[in-house]
Amino acid sequence: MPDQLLYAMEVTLNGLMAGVMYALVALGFVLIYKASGIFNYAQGVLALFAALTLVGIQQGQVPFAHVINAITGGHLESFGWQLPSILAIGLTAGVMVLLAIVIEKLVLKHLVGQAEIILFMATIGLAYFLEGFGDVMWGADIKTLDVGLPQGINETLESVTDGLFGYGFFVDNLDIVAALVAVALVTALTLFSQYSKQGRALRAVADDHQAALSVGISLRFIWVLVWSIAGIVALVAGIMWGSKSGVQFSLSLIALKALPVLMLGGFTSIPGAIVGGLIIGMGEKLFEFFLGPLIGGATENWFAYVLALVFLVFRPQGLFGERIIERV
Amino acid sequence: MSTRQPGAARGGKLRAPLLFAAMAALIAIEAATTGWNGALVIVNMGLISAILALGVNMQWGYAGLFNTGVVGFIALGGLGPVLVSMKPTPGAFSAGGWGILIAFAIALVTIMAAVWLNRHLTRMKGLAILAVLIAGFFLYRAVFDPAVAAIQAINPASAGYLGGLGLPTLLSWPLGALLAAGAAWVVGKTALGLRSDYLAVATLGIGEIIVAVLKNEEWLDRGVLNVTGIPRPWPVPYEVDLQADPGFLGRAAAFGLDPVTASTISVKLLYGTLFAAVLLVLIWALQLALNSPWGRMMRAIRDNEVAAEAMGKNVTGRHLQIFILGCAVIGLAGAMMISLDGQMTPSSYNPLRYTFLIWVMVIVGGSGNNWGSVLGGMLIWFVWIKAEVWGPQIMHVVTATLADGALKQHLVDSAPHMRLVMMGLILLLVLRFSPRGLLPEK
Repeated sequence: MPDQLLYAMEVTLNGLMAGVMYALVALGFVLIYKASGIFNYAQGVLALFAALTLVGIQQGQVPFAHVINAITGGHLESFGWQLPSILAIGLTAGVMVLLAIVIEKLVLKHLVGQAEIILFMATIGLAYFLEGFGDVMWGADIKTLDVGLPQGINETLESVTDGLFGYGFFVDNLDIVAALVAVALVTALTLFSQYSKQGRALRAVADDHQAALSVGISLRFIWVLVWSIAGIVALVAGIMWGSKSGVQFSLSLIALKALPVLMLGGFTSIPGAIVGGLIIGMGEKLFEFFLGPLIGGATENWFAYVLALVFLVFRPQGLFGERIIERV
Repeated sequence: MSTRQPGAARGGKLRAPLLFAAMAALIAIEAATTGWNGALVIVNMGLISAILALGVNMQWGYAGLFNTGVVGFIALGGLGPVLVSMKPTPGAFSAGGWGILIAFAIALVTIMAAVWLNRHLTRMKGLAILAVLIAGFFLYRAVFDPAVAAIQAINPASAGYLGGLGLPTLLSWPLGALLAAGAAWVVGKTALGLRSDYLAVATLGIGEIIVAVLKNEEWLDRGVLNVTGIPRPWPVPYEVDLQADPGFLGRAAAFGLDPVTASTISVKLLYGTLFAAVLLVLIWALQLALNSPWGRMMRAIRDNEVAAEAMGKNVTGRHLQIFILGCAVIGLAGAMMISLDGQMTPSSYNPLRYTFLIWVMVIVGGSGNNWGSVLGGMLIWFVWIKAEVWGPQIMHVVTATLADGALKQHLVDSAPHMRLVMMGLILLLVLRFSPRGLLPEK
C-alpha cells in the first residue's frame, strides 16, 4: 500500500481517538441541556475542577494549604497519604455531587423562571468562580495526574499493523482506554435513563417541566441529579484529559470545542455527542493532514467551527437532534 | 425576557445617578489611595470597555443577536492603527505589495465567478463551481506566496511586514471600525436570517479564525512577533517631549508637581478626554437611535420576531444592519485600545478576556440600557483590575501580625485566581438579586 494512504489511516485512527475526548466533554453538555435547556458553559471548568480535586485527594494535598499557611504561618503541605486511585475517584465523585447540591441551592434555585440567557450567563459566572476557586483550593501549578491508566504506544496494534502493511501504527494506549470508557459511560447512561425510576423522571422533566411537576416529580431533585451526573461525566473527562496532557488551566477551554460537536450531533442526543465528537476529531486531523500544508497550517483551531456551520446549513437540528419546531 | 423582576428597578429615577456617583467615588478613592496615575490607567481602559459594551449591547440588548466572537472583531479593529499609522517599510511594497494586491484581486474574482455560476448555471453547477474555486485557489497561491516571501525577507528582525501608510493615528479608528464592519457583513450575510444559534457558532468560529489569521500572517502585522511603537493619536504627546518643553515644566511647577508625574498624568488625561469624547458622541447617537422609530422597531423585532415580520418589518435586513453597526463600534474600540497600548500583540487575544468579560459587562450593567452598559464597562473593568490587589489586601488585614516573606509570595501567587473568583461572584450575585442588571431597561 502507498505510504500516503497508510499515514492517512493512522491519522484517521488518531483523529477518532481525539474525537472520543471531545465526545466525553460534549456528553456533560447534552445531559444538562436535555434536562433543563441550559447551555452549561461551566462544563469544561467542571472537568478542570474535578481533575484538580482528584489529584489533590489522591496525593493528600491539604485544600487551601496556601491560604491556611499564610494566615497561621504554618507549613501545611499534605496529609502525607497516597490514596489508591479507586478510592480517590470515588471521593472526588462525592465532591462533585456535593458541588451539584451547592450549585442548585445557591444559584439555580433562585433563577427558576428566568430567561434562558440569564441561566446561561449564570453558568459563565459559575465557570469564572470555579476556575478561580479550584486554583485557590489546590494551587495553580500544572499537575500530573496518574490513576494507573496505561500510557504510551500500543505495542500489539503496532506489531499487528506492521505485519499487515509493513508500517506500524502509533496509537496511544490511553486513547484506547478512553474509547472503552466512553462506550461504558454511554451504556450506563442509556440504561439509567431508560430503565431506572429516576431516569424516567429525568426524561419526563426534559419533555415538559410543567407536566412533570404536576405528576409530583421534584424539579429541584432532578436538577441536583442532572448536575451530579454531569459532574461525574466531567470527572471522567477530566481524568482522561488530565492523564493525557496534565491538569492545567487550558483544560477549561475544551468547552469551546464542544460547541461544534454539539452542533453536529444535536444538543439533545447522547449518541449524537459521541458521533459528533468522532466526526470533529477525525475531520480535524484529516483536514490538517491533507489540506493543512496547502493553506498554511494551524487549521485545527477553526476547522471544527466551519464544519459545524456547513452542517447547520443542511441539517439544523444536528445528526440526531429532535426536529425543532418553533411555535408562534 | 422575563416579566418578573423583583427589586430590579428599585430606586427609581435616582438609581442611575446614584450608581454613577458610586462609580466616580470608587475612582476617587482609588486615586486618593494609589495616586492619579493608576486611577487614570483604569479610567482610560474603562472608557474603552464601556464602548465595547455599548457595541455588544446594540447587538444583544437592542436586537437579541448573540455575538460570541467579540474577540475577533476587537482584534480586527486593532489592525487599523497598524495599517494606518505605522511607517511604511521601505521597499516592502515594491517587493511584494503588488503581488498581494493581485492575489486578492484573483481571490475576489474567483469568489464572484463562483457566486455568478451559482446563480446562472442549472446543469453541472456543483462541478463547475468546484473547478473554478480550485483553479482560483492555486492561481492565488502562485501569486501570493512569492510576494509574501519577498516582504518577509526585508529586515525580518525589525520589520518583515508591509508596514502602514504613515498617516495620523486618529484616521485609523474609523478604519478599525470599517474592517470589523466588513467582517460582520460577511458573517451576517451568511448566518443571519437562519435560526439564532447559527450566529452564535458562526461568530465563535470567525472570532477564532480572525485571531488565527492575525497570528499567522506575518506580512500583515508581524504575527506573534508583535508590532510595537504604534504612534499616539493626535493631541497626545510623548512624556519625554513634555519633560523637555520649558513651557510645560513651568506650568507643572505652578501646580507644584514634579515633571515626571505631571507629564504622565497629562498624557493619560488627554487620552481619557479623547476616549470620553468618543464615548459621549456614541452614547448621544445611540440614545437618539434607541428612542427613534427605528429603535422602537428594533425592540419590537427583538421581543417578537414573528409579530414584527407580520407587521411588514424586514427582520433579516434590520438584524444585518444592527449586527454590522455593533461590530463597527466594537472594532472602533479595538482600534482605540491598540493606540492606547502602542503595540499590537495578536497572541494576547483570548475569548475569556475579550468576549465573555464584555458579556459580563453588558449583563451586569443591564442589557438594553446604554447607560447600563457604560456603567457595567467601567465597573467590571475596575473590579477586574482591582481584584488582583484586593484579595491580597483583605488577606493582609487578616494576617497583619505576620512576617512578610512567605506571605508576600502567596499573595502574589493567588492574585490572578482572586480575579476570577470575584468576577464569578459579582456575576452570580447580580443575576441573583437583579437579574436584568444594575440599570435595567425601562
